[in-house]
Amino acid sequence: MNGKDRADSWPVSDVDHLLQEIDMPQLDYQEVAASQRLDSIRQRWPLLDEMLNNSKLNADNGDKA
Amino acid sequence: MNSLALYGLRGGAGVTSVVAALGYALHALGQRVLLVDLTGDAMLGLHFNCPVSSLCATDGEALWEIVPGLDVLILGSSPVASSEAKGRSLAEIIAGATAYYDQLLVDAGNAGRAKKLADGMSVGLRQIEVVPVDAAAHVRLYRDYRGQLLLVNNFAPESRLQNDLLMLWQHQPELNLLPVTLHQDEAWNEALACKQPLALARPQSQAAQEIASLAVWCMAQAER
Repeated sequence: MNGKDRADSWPVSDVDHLLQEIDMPQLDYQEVAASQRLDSIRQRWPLLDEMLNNSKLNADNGDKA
Repeated sequence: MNSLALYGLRGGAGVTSVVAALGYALHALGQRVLLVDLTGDAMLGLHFNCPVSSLCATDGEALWEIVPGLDVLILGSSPVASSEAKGRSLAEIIAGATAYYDQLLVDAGNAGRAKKLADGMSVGLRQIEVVPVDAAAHVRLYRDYRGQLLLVNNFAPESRLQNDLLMLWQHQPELNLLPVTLHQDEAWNEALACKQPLALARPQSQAAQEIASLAVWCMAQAER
């Protein structure tokens, strides 16, 4: 059994226990959808938004960006 | 032979530096490389230690062998040399160079000259537009884009605006962005000040690593 298989076979609780043993901080993240991020960019920079609305790049497929 | 014409979305985009660095990186990968300067100001030779005085004196054509397998051709440093004349010269040169070189990189200067060259060529000449990451570039890109490959240059990741611009561009499927982004790096300035190509002057720099990646991409294109 190689290292990866062994790691995959560990119960999750053991991994959590190991992380606690080595004092690893619990990492957390917040999932942000790309469309949400793009919307906020457009709100932040009016010129960028205006170009996206008026560009021929978006003429065929609507407002994608 | 893989033929690429690079030009800037606007002046000062860093095209000549990229052509010099990319040419040297391709040569380091064992490619036979011809670099052609069509810009009229003949700056390309300066990246390879060519003397300023001799470049300024070049009125017609000058060919410099930097090292075996890496040549720099200056086509007319005189500002009166017409683009059409250069276009004809380049077509003839490419026809003759196919047997001697693996990679041809043309510093075309501007979009008009690159398009004219590509239209007049019998072999495929791919056009790459070097794009700085700023609001003016965004306007020009979304107003005038015609399907060319885009190489993002001088990207400063600490800038919020530049990060936002790059994300917008990467999510615009119509824009043909190259897989390599060139970051802002003082190594570019230092290399020119040393009159050396990037990988020779600052081999450990981030810019040199990115150009090496771009060179691998160029070789992959040649094999297609």
